Amino acid sequence: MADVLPSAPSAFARGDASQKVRQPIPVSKIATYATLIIGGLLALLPFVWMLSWSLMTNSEVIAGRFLPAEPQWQNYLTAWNTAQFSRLMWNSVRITAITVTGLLLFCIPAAYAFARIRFWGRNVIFALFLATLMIPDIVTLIPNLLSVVWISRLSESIFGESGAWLNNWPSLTIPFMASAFTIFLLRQFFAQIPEDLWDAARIDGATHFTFLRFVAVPLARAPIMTTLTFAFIGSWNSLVWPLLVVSNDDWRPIAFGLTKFVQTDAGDEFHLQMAASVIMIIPILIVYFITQKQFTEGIWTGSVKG
Amino acid sequence: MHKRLLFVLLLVVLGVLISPLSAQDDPLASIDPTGQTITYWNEWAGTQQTAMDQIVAMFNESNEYGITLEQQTFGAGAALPDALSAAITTGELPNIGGNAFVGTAQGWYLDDVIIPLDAYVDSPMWGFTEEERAQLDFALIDTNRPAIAPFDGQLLAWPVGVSANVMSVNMSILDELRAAGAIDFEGAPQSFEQFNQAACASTELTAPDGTTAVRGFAMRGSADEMYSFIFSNGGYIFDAATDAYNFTNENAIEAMQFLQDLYANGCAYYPEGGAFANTGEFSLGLNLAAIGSSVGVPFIQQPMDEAGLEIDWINTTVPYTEGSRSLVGFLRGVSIFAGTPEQNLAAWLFIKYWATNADAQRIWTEGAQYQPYNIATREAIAGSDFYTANPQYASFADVLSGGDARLQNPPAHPRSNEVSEAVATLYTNITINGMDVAQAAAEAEAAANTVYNEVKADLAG
Repeated sequence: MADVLPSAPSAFARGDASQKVRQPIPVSKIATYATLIIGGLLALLPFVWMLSWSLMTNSEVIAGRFLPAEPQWQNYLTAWNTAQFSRLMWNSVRITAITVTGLLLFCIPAAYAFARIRFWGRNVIFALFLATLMIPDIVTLIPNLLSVVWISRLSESIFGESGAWLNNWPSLTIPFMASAFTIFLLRQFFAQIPEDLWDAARIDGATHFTFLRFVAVPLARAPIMTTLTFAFIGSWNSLVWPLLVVSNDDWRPIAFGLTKFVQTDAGDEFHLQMAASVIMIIPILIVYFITQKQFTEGIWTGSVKG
Repeated sequence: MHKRLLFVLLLVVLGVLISPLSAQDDPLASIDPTGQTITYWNEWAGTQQTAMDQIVAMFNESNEYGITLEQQTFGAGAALPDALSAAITTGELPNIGGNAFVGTAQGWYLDDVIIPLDAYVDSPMWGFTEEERAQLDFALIDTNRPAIAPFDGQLLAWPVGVSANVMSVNMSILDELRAAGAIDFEGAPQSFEQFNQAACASTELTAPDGTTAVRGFAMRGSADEMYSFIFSNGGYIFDAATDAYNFTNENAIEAMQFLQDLYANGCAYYPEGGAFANTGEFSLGLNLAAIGSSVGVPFIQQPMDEAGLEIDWINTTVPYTEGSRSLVGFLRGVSIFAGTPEQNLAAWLFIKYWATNADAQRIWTEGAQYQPYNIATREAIAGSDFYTANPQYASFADVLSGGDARLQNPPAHPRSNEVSEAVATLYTNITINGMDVAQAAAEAEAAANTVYNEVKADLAG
C-alpha cells in the first residue's frame, strides 16, 4: 500500500475565512435578533434611566434631561443618610437570611415528600397546595394579618414580650417559610431523579433522609439556587407586609427607606428617590449574578453514569 | 393644739366634700398620666422630622409627669395610612396618629378608634388656660369640627399648622413683561383680566434655558386648584341651604369658563411628570405661575438654586374679584387613638405642649413652614430672621394676615376624596377634552351629590 502523503489541510480546515462559503443570514433570524435586541433595550431602559436620574441634580430631573451634566455622586450619600439605610439594610439582611434559611429547611423536605414518598392523600394535598398559587396575595393579606396578630398575642402570653410576633422577626419571616411555588418547583425536580439512584442508595442502606441529604439536594443545587434567588428578591423587596406588622425601626426592611423620598403635598425629590432605588437593588444584582452561574452548570452532570 | 387639729380636720372634710364636685365638673381630673409611655405615628421627613425630633426631645425632658413619647415615622405617601388601616384591623394602635385631613379622621371616628378632643380642650385641669386659649386661633382650629351628624361639631383632629393652595408667581417674568409694555399693572396679577393678560403675554418670552418658551400658567388639574378659582370668583361649591354640592352656580361656571379659555388660548398647559411637575417647572422659570402647597417652598427654591437661577418669586392667591379673595386651606391634623384614660391624657398633654410652648411652636414653624394657628407664634415669627430669610413664607403670611383673603375649605366627609376625583375629572373635561363647561359641571355635580347622599345615608344608618 502506497504511503499516502498527508494531504495539506484544506483552506476550510485552516480557518481561512476568505475561502469560507458565506451563507446568507435568514431574514427570520435577523427579525428574531432585532426583536430580542429591542426587547433587551426596553428592559434595560428603566435601569439606565434610574441610574441617570440618581446622578442628577433635582433641577436636571425637572428639566427632563436624560443624562446628568456632571454626576452628583453625593446623591447616594444623601439618600443613604436620609433613609437611614445602614440600619434598614442590616434589618433586611437579617430578615432575608432567616426567611431563606427557613424556606429551604421546610420546602426541600416537603417537595421531596410530595415527589418521592407515597402517602395517603398525597396528590390531593399537593393539588390544594397548587391551588393556593391561584389566589392573589392581596386577598389573603388581611386574613394573614389577623392570623399573625392572634399568634403574636398567644405567643406573647406564653413567652412574654420577647415572644411577640408583631414588631419582631417572626411576623416578617415565618409566614414566608412555606412557599407553594418553591415546593412545586423543587417537587418537579425531585420527581425526575432516576429510580436507579434511589435503588442504588437503598442497597447501600440509605433512608429517605440520607438520600435527600446526600443525593437529591446536591443534585438539586441549580433549582435550589433558583428558589433561593426568588426568595431573596421577594424578601428584599417586601414592603406592604412589613408596613402592616412592623411599626418601629428595629425590624423595618430596606424598602421602607424609599418612602422617605415620597412627598404628599409639597414636592418630589426624584433624584434622591432614584439614588435610594439604586442602593436598594445592588444586593439583588449581586445575588443574581452569583446564582446565575449556578444556572449555567449542568443539572445532571456526573449524576448518572453509563 | 386642739384648735389646730380641729382646723386641719375641717380642711380635710372640706377637701373630701369638694373633690367629688371637682371630679363632676371635670371627668378627667382624677386621671393621672404619670409615667406613661405613648407612641406617635407620623409621616414627617426632612426638616419637618428634624423639628419634630427636637420638640419630642424637649417634651420628654421637660414634662412634669415623666411621660415618654416615642415617635415612629412612616415616611410620606401611603405608608402611614396603610399602617394605620392595618393597626385598626389588628387593634395595635398608636396613641397619636396623623397628620390627616379631617375627612380621614371622620373615618377613624366611625371606626370607633379615635376620641374627640373637646373634653381635653375644655378640661379645667388639663385643658388650655385662659391665656393660652386667647393665643389660639380657634376660627382656624374649628375647621376640624365637622358639623354633620354623627360628628356633631366635635373636634376630631388637632391641626399641625395651616397650609394652603398658594399661587407661586414669577415676578421676574412680570418685570420683563412690564418693561416690554406687555402688561399694565404693578405687582402680581390680582384680577382675572390681569392674570389672563400676563399668562398669555408670558408665552412670548424665552425661558432661562434659552431654548424653550415660557408656557403661561401651569395647571395641576386638581380639585383644590379649581376650588381656588371658583372661591376667588365669588362662587361656591357647596350649598348649605340645600345641603348639596353645587358646581353650576353662575360664578363657579364663570371661573371654569375662564380656565377653559386660558387653556384653549395656549396661555395655560399641563406639564408632564407627576403631581408636582407644575411647581417643578416653575422652579426652572419655565412658566409664569403654578399652584401648590404653601409648605412646598423648599421644593421650588432648591432646584432654582441648583440651576443657578435668580428668580424673584412670591406666594400669593389666585386672581380674584372684589371681596372674594380666597385660599383653599389645609388643616391636616393629629388625632388621639383610644387607649387607656392615662395614655389618652398623656397624648393630649403632648399636643397641648406642641400647640402652646413658645419654643416648640417656633421650632415647628421654622422647620415645617406651616403658618401657625398660635397667634403669639405668628407675631414672634413676623419679626424674626426666619421671616426675612424666607420671603415666600413671609408673602403668604402677609396674605393671611392682610385681612382681605379668606381661608375656605371644601366640605369634609369620609368620602371627600371621591368628590375631589370627580372635580379633577371636571377640570380635565373642560380643558383637555374641551367639553361644554355647563354640561361638564352638571355631570360632576351629579356625581359629587351621589357620593354625598350615599355618605349621608350611611351615616344616618
